[in-house]
Amino acid sequence: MWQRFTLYDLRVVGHYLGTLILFFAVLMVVPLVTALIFQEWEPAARYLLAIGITMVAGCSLRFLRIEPGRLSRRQALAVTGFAWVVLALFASIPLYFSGHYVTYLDALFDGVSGLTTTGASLVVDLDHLSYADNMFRFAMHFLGGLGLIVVALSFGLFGKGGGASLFTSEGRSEHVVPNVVQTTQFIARITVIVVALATIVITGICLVMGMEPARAFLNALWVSISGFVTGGFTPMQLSIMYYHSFPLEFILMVLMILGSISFVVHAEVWKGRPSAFFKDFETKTMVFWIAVMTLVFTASMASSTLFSDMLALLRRGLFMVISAFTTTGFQVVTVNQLTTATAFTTGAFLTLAFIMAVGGGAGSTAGGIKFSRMGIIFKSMVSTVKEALAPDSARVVVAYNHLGRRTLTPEVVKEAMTVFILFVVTYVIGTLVGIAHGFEATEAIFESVAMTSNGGIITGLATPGMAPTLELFYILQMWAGRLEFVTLLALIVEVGASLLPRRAPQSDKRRS
Amino acid sequence: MARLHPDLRPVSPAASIALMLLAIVSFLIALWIIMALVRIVFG
Amino acid sequence: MSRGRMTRRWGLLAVVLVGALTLGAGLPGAWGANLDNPDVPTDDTGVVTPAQDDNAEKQDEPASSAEGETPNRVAPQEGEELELPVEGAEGAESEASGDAVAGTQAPAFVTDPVFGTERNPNNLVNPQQKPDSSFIYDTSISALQEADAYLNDQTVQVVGEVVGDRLKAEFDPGYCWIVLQSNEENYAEIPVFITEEFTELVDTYGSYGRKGTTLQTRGTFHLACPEHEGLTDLHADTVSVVEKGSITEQVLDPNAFIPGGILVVVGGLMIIVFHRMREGQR
Repeated sequence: MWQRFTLYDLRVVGHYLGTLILFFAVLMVVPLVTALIFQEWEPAARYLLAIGITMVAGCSLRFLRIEPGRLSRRQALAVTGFAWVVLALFASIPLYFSGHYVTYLDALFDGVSGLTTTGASLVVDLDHLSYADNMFRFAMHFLGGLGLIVVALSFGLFGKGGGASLFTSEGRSEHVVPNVVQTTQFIARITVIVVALATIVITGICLVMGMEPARAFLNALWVSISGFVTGGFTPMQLSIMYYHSFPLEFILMVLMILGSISFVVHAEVWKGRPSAFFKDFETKTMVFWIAVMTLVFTASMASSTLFSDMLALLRRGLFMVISAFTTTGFQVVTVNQLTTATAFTTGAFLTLAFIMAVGGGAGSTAGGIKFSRMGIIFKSMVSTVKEALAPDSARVVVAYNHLGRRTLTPEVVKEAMTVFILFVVTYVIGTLVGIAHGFEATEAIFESVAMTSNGGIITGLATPGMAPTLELFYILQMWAGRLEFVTLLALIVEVGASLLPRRAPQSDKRRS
Repeated sequence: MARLHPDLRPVSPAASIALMLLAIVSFLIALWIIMALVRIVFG
Repeated sequence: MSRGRMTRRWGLLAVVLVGALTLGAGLPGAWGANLDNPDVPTDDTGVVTPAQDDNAEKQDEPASSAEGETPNRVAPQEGEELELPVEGAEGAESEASGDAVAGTQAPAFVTDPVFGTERNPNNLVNPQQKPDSSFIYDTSISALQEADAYLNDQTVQVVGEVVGDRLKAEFDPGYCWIVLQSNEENYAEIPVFITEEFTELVDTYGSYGRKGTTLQTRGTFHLACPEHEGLTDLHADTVSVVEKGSITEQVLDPNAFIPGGILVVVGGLMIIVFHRMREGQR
């Protein structure tokens, strides 16, 4: 019943992973060039070595299958599923040898966190990190953020994909649906333009504040990338508190929200069809949901002893709400303020966790359960009530608008509810694992949600040199959350089925 | 997928992007207003 | 009248007379007779003027009662005598001046046993100083990082390395923000709100390959600063340099590039081989 992977499948998967790894080696040229520009010789040598290792590994894997060909859906699933962790393994090589990580697992954690755009970092002494290493961290965010969209488009958003896979042989595009390629290019263009504009504006702000030009530019670039792909890494240890700039925080809030809107909606708006944005049910869900959660958050902060000052609430409170729901992970309050009951009340703290858990828009870099699923579940409840009230012969149809008018079908509802439950179960299991390691319950809940939803606001459980079992589990959660579970589970099932002894010879039929 | 609500007229990309940004900024301001009101009422 | 009652009356009268005499003899000793005694301060000497700081401390208590007065007069002397065995030569001086005090009209300048005759501006008593901020917590930045309401609004003193950049405060002209990083293994940091002129003391700002100036700063710690919209910060009052910063020279070692270079070349060859094989199979 469960289809299994054949040796041939493995070779195909290996080949395409090798291609991705090779591409990752090209990405590593960016930190290398940065190191050379700023004359950081040790990082330059380190990145050259990392590039070499990655290239050789990638090329070796590619030899597993020479002739060009298409990917079947299951194979593409395996490639994208494993890609995150495999690439993070190669990312951890230069990171660990920078000397800024306590254990190798910490470097791997940062690699996964960077690529999944979680943004929780275990780096030690970030303020003394070389520009090359910092550039690499944000390059990972950029790749992870864009790559996800590209991958999601190739078989998520356009229905079942129709056999179209993104990963085709080099140069040959006849097997790829043209729509996908065009939209992918469009998305890359949007990202580059938005990040470039934001970088220019923020560089200006940093220069006004008195930073040196090179540092102003780098900080602006990195913070813009991190904001738009809703990552959460920041160049300095104090996160966004470092900049002490309200205009910067405002721009980042707009950037974060932009990053949490579905990319396909972006594409429509950029083509001159703003109604795609305004009529979209995700937009409506966002407005309603965030308004309610802001109300709850503010009400729960009213009893805070130190933080109930109006301006503090408006400036830092709203930023944290936006950072949470877009699952970015920027912080304008310290971990101490979040966790002790003096600044943030426990209620506000858990409200923030709840906001992160639900997350942002689907088809964007935001994580969490996503607005579309929440909207669908809500509409499904409405539909159920309608059916209960309507006469037996009536057929109830509930419609919603997401890039065109769609009707609520049982399949859509089933997918939404399944993923919703899987997220909640993972949040709970992650909490239990955190508690088992001896941490406070509220903090364990928050951290588990932060990992799974790729939010990345840290409360102190994820620290350098943390317990390896907890760390591995958090890595698993980040991975699962980014793959939105179904992909990951399907993968696990396939791998598991492949490892079981076969009952009858049935693998020969599966050559594609 | 037939659209039951066709767009009124295609706007220029710049205008539509500006519209979206304006919407986001007004969303943020509205959230601030909500926070201020709640704070005054509950605080 | 019986003899017993007569005796009682005479006895009572005798007691009253004796008591009156005693009191009368004692009273002039408590007040009245020694108004000119310079050792006994009148109410005016409670006011502190800078010229008489050191001796005002010692003679600050106004005479309040008969019982209290005698120890007052003796105490300064006793205090000085107690210090004598510790301070040696300077103590002898103070004893001499202490004796002089007893005999002169105006109290002489009493030498401070620690700072001698010099005036140390850091050691002056400021009567306007509020009681709750006169206690300075000499603490570490890590402790500030984990502080709870106990340290809020207290004067703290920490030592840390300046890292990052100096950023102008957006709403307060003339002030800047710098970041101090602790040198413990958790590398805790705190943003410091500081006047621009104090930042001139910083010669290096820490970053990659640079160790920033180590500063000791004393100021008010806020857990959620009301002036800065709830930021955890330290408003520096005084700043002093503990250690200058340093810049580590970045050495270009060509040998370090060799392993990477070799692997890249190998990788490149593999790509070429792969494409040849692919072309061959088409």
